[in-house]
Amino acid sequence: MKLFCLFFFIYQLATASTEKKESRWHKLMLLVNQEMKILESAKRKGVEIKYRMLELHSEKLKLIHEKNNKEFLESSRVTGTSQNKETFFSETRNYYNLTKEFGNKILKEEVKNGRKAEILYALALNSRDYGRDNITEKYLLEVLSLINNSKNSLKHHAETALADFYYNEKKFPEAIELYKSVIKNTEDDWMTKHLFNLSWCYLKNREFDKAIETIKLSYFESKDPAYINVKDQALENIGSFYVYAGRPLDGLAFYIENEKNPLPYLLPMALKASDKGHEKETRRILDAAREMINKKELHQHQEELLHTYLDFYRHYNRFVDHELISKELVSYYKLAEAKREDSKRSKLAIDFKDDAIEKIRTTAGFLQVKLSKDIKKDDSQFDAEELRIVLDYFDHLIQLDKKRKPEYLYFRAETYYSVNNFNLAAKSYVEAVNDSKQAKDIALLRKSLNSLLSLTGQEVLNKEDNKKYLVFTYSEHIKNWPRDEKSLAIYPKLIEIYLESTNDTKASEVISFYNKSFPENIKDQQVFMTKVLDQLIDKKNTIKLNQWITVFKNGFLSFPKETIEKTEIVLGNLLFMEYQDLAKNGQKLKAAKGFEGLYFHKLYPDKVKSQAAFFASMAYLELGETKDFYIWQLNSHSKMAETERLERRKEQLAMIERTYRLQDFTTSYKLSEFLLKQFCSIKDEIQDRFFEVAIMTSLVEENVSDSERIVKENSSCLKNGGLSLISLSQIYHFYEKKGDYYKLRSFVKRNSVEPFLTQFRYSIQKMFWEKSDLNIKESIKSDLLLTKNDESLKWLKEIDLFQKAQKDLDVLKEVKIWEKPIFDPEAFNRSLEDYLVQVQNFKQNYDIILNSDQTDLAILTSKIFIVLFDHVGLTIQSLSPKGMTKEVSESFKLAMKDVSRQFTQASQLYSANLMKVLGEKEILSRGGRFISSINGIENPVFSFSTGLIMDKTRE
Amino acid sequence: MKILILLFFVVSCSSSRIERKIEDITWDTLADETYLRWGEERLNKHANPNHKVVQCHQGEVKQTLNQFRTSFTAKENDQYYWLHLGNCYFLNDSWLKAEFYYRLFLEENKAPTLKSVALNNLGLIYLKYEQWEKAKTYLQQSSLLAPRFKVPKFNLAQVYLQFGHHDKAIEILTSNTFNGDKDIDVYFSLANAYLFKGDIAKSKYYFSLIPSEQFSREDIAATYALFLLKLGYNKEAFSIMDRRDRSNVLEVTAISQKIEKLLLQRMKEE
Repeated sequence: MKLFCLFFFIYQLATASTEKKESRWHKLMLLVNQEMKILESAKRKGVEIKYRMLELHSEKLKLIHEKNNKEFLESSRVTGTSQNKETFFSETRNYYNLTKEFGNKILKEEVKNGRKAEILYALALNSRDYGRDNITEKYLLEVLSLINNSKNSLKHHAETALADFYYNEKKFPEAIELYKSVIKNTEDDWMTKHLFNLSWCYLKNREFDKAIETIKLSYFESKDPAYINVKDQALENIGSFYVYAGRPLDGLAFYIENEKNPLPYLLPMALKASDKGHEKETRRILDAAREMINKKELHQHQEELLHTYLDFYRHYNRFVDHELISKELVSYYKLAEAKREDSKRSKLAIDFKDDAIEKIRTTAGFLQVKLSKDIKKDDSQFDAEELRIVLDYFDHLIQLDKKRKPEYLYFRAETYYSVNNFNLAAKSYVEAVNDSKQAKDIALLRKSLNSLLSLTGQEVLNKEDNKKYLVFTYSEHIKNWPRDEKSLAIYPKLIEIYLESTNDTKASEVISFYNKSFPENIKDQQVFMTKVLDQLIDKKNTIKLNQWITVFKNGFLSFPKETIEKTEIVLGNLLFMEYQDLAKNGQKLKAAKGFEGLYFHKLYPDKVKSQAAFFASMAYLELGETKDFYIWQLNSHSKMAETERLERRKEQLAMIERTYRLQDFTTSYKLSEFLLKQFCSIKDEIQDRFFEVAIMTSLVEENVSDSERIVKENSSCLKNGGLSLISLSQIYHFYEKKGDYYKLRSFVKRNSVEPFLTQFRYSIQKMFWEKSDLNIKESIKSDLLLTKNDESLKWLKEIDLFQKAQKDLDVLKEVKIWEKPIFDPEAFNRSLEDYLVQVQNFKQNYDIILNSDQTDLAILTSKIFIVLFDHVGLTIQSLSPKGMTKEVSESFKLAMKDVSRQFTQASQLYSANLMKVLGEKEILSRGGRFISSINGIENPVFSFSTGLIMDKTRE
Repeated sequence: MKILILLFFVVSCSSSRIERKIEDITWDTLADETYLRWGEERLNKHANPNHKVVQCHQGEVKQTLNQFRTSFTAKENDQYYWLHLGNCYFLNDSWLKAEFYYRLFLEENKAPTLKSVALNNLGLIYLKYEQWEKAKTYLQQSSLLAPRFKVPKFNLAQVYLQFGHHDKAIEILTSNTFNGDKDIDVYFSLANAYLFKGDIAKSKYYFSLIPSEQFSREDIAATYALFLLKLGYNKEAFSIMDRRDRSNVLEVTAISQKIEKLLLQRMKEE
């Protein structure tokens, strides 16, 4: 609000001022018009009234001109041009003509006119100020001719006006004559001014001494307060006058003599002297000025002094001196600015700094062009000193004009370039680029880069430098204009350079940038990236490869999955190379540990980890360390992608086959089953083999429950469905081979299908005869009964018969044919008959099982018969009843012998037949062993304890 | 608890082999085919140094198996790798594993002599399983593939002896293969065969060829005791049995005990 109030107040003041002027103009115009009206209304108008009316017309003309001029100025200010000026002054012209006609009319009408000179004077001045009719000189001359009195003031005014007119019209001799008259009038306040004008007329008329004296008079008279003071104007020009007069040092002396601080005049004079060719004198003036400044501490002139020096040396092409002053100016401005910061009242002016910059700049430019011309003209010859100066100028400019530092750096580069110093040129271009960037001077940045690009294209730098600058240029260009036509061409070139120098870091940075700027060129970028990867592979830089894989997986450059996988494989191969070499050289444990390290490395991708673990497992396998092999296989598997898992199966199968060769059956079947389950849905030959191996090795390890479980859980994972039954058969035979009745029985219960049910019948039937454990025997009998199979039931019946035969045999063996103390033939015969009937019954009862297809049973039954008949034979033969006569006894013995022989022969026959059958069929049964016993004691030779394994000790 | 300890003792002491190391090579006609009867000194001095199996025969089974495992990569240089590995397992009574490696050996070797060796050993395995017929078949196949090998024939003879086919055993052991050979087990087998066949004179003859120190071997002692028993020399038989070295082969021990029992009964009767 306060601000608005202030603005309003200022506006009011301004408008008040304008209003005041306008009010004055209107008041004057009103007064003029009112008086004019009054005078016009006069019936008789004499010369005086008419002259007064001319004065009023002149006054009105002045007011109209004033108005027109104001309108013109306002219009110019608005439009910014001064075109059609005359149209703005048409009213002035018209009124001038009216006034002139009015004056001329008076002159015509009034022959005896006492105011003629005044009227002519008025018309002359009106013509001078408002007309275009050039009658001023004529009317003034008429005025002078009309006035004879030299002291007439009108004459003095007319002479002055005419002198000024001639002065302005450069009619200096005419002006001199009139001014000489005018200055005689010492009453005129303006005498000093007229003297000043006269001095100029002398000067222009090349009357230098008169000019000097006259202007000095004007200077001195100005000290008189009776006159208008033109001292300053005089002082400003006296120096020039001395210069024109060829006496600049007199001018120096004048100023020193007459002015306490002559510096404001000395320095322009010095310039003038310089311009006029007074080189030595100029130097003296300037040196004197410098001395004076220092002596009188007139430091406020220091800036101007230095500028003057600068102009002076430039004028005479004294570039060495010029550059020194330039340098001095830099120091000066630094000091001045520092002082100004300290105190605003510092004497040290900073008024012409821009001017100084421009002067140094143009001089540098001049010399730069000169150098360029010189070198073109004279085959690489140039003035080294000039080069130094130019470069120094740019240094000075950089200090003076910090805002344009990049430009000066660029100029410096151009300077170097112009003298074929390409190395320094390149260096300076780089500086220009860097500073342009800092200053955000985009145009200069582009210009500098273009120059640098052009320079590198000329192949004038040594190869290494050229490449360095080319890389710089390309890099800066794409950095500042990531997406323009030139950048599009630069990206591939820059990448190629980096690739050529195997700088994968930079190359990939550029590719990344290229991708951000031109995502549509992804194919190119992929190609370049592939080259980078190739280099990393060549350099075996696994760390970077690994980093890139992570980046690719996050989508960079949209590489297809296969490419990433290939890269992973390559990475793996590189990583593994070292350890694979170790493994090849026999250091397998070290290799395994190395692979483990890769697996545990946090940054590597799963692909690498899975491979590392796989290789670790391989190394362990080669070492025969199957437990570690197993652990690392599982580790590997956990990191594998599904495709890799599928691909590895064949290899894994081979490895598993190796584990059992390395005596580790447990690992073999565990891993087989693990993989079998993993790929259950595949159902191929490999699955079948995993299954076979799992069953085979679990059985070898006697983990039969595992074998059975594997069959149960994995049979659906097989291509060959028949394998399941084959495996169960293997398990069956395992139990059978082990002679483990109870486990075999349990197995068949769990798998109560054919062929196991039938096989089981035969197995247990055989076991029945081999096992001595009575519980087992009873259990087998129960099993056979439960089968309800005719053959089994027949076997049971035979067994029962056999057991009964054994008992009956025992009974028969205990039978005593005759025990009475007195022999009774009839009773004896009945007893013997009973006994033989029992034997006969025995034979009838058990003859049937002699032909049993239970081999052991048949053999043992034969043995029973052999024993029985042998026993019967021996029993009968040994009969010797008491109470017989000798004769009877002898005939009894003979009779018994015959009977006994029949049984003994029968026993021998049975035995011979049995041995024949056993021998022919090479029957290997317990029964056979029993047959060949001595006193019921079997042979102590057991082949399983006396048999010999072969080592093949000799070829 | 006592029962458990006793059971452990029995199990740990029981064996399936008659230990019969022969230090004097002149008594070992099968020396070129098997290390099984080589005594410590012979093994140390004369065994093929490339045969790791020798260490297993010396009782260092576990370590040797480990050596087999770690040297697996170099097995190509050892054609007997699987065979000897199997033998080590055999000597360790790990018959399933032994059989497994014998079969691997069979898969990898097609030469009849090598197959014959594996088949012989498989036959032995099946003897352990008491699958006599299968064992006999393997041994017969082994013998057929390499007729000059003595061990398969010897083993077959043992089977025949065990099951009372004395003539067959005699036929084998007196065949050209063993003609003129001086061997404790061959002599003993023939003595045994003739004894059980009932030919005491020939049995006596072969017993007489056996060095006296060998009569402490439990199977020889038991057989000779039966021989003496048959001749009625009960005390001598008893004395032989009394001096025998226990084999810890359960079946042989059982026979010995039966003989002792019978002898005691006979002597009591006397």
